[in-house]
Amino acid sequence: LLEDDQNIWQLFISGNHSSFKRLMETNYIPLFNYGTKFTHDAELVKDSIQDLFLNLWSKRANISIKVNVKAYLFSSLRRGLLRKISSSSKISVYDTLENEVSFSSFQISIEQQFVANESTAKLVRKIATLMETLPPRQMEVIYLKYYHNFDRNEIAEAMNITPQTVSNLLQLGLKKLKADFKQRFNPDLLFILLPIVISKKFI
Amino acid sequence: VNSEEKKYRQYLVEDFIWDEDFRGWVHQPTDVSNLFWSNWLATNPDKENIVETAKHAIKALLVENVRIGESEIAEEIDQILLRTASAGFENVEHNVASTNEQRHVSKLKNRYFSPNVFLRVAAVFLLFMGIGLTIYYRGNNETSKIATEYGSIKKITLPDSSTIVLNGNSNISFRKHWKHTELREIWLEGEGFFNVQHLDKDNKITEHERFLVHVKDVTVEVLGTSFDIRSRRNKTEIVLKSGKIKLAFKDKGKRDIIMKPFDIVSIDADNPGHIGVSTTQPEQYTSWIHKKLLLNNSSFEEVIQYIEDNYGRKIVLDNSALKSRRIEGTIMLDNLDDALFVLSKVLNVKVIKNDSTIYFMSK
Repeated sequence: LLEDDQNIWQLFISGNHSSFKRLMETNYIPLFNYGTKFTHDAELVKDSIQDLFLNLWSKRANISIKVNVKAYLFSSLRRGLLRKISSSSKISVYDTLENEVSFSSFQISIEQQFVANESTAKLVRKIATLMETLPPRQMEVIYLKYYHNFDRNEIAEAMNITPQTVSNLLQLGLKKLKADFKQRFNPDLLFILLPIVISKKFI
Repeated sequence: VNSEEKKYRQYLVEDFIWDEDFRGWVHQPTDVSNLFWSNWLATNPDKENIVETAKHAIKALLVENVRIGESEIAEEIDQILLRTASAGFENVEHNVASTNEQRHVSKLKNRYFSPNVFLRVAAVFLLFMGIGLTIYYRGNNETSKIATEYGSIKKITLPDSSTIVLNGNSNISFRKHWKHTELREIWLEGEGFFNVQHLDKDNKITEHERFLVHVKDVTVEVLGTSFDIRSRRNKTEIVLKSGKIKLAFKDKGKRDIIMKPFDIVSIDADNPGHIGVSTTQPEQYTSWIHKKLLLNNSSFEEVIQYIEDNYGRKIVLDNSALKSRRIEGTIMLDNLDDALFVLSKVLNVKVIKNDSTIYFMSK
C-alpha cells in the first residue's frame, strides 16, 4: 500500500492530474478524521484540506519526490489548520499556538462500523474512552500510531517534533493508558471473554 | 525465545494490543513472525480466542468512523480538480480525466489558449459558466444506483444525510441531486435498514420533508424514523424500529397502513389478498446490520432462505424434515463458513459445499 502511495506521488509530481485525483481520494478520509480531532468545525477542516491540495498542486515542482506521503500530508494539514484556528480566535500569537489550540476532541463511535464482534467492539470503545483522558499531545501521538499505523519518524514529521519527543510522549501515554486499562477494565474483562468461552463450549 | 513465549502466556487481550512485536505481525506478517505465532498458538491453544480478539481490535482501530459522506468527499475533490485544471494553463499535457466536467474544461482551455490576459479572463469566465450549466442539466435527472454483492453489507449516506445499510445482494437507486423543494425518493430491491433524517420542524409536512421508499408492491412513506425492509422472492416484510411510517400499496384497492414501532407488516405476492400485521422484536430483523443473525425459535427454512438470498449459494438438504427444525440463538455472520459450522453442530448434520451449493447431510 505504501508503495502505491509513493507511485501515485511520483506521477502527481510530474503533473499527472488523474494521479492527483487518486492522491486526494486515498487520503481524504484519513486527513478529514485527523483534522476533526482539532476542531468540531467540519467546514474549517474541509477548507484546510482544499487549501492543502490546491497548494500542493501549484507547488508540486518544488516538492521532493522522496517524501513520506502520508506524514507529509498530515503535517501540512496540521500546520494549515492550526493557523486557521488560531487566527479565527482572539489570541493570535503564533508562539503559543500549541497551547491555544490542540488535539483535543477525540471521539470515535464504533456503532457505525462493522467490527468483528461485540467483544472487539467493546474493547475498541474502551480504548477510545481511555484515550479521551490523555493530555492532548500524548493523545495525538497514540492516535497516529494506533489509528493510522504511523511509525516514530512519521509521527515526528506529522507533528513537527523530534523522534525522541515522540518516544517520550508515547511512553508516557501508554503508561497511563495501560494503568487505566487495568484499573477500570479488569472487572469488565469477564464480560468480554465470557461470550467467547460460552460460544466455544456450545460448538 | 523461551522467555518471550512465557511472557506471552501471561498476556491479557490489551497486552497483546500494545505489544510491538504482536502488532508488527498483525500489520505486516513475515515468514519469521508467522512461524513464531503459529508455533506459539500450537503450544498454547487455550489462548486462541484472546489472540483473535486482539488481532481484530488492532485492525478495527484502523477503521475509524467517518463523519463525512462519500458524495460530500467527491464534491470536494471535484472542486479542487476544477480549480487546478483551470489554473494550470501552461500545463497542457495533463490527463483528461473521466468526468464530463473535466472534458469540458480541457476543450475550452485549448480553444481559448492565448497570451492575451483579457481573453484568459474571458475564458475562465465562460468555462465556469459552461461547467455550471453542465452540472445544472446533468443534475436534473441523473440517478445513482448502488448495489451490494452477495455476502457484503454497505452503509450509504444519502444527500440529506439519512443512512441506509444495504444487505447483500440488494440495490437502491435515487436521484443524484436532491433539491430542497422536492420529496426524497428511493427505489429498493432486496433488504435495507433505513435511518431517515427528520426534517419536519413545525408539524406541517411540506413536500421536501417527505421520504418515500418504493419496493415492488408497496411504497413506504417516512417521517424521520428507522425501519427495515426485506423484499425477497415474492415476499416483502417491513419492520419499524422507531418513529412512524405509512404504507401505500401499488394495488389501489388496498387501504394505507400506518405502522407503529415494533409492528411488522408482511406482504406475499402469491397471496395478495392477505396482508399480515403483527408485532415483533425489531432486533430480529435488524441484527444483520451488526453481522449477526438473531434466531428466536426460527425454523431452519428461514435460515436457509436468508443464506440463499444474501450469499447467493443454493442450499440442498438430503432430508426435508430438517427444514422445520427450530433454532434459537445468535449466529455470527462475519464469515459464512463459521456460520455453517455452527449450524452443522446445532443441527448435528454434515456440511459439504462447493462454489455454488451447500449440502446439509444427516449423519
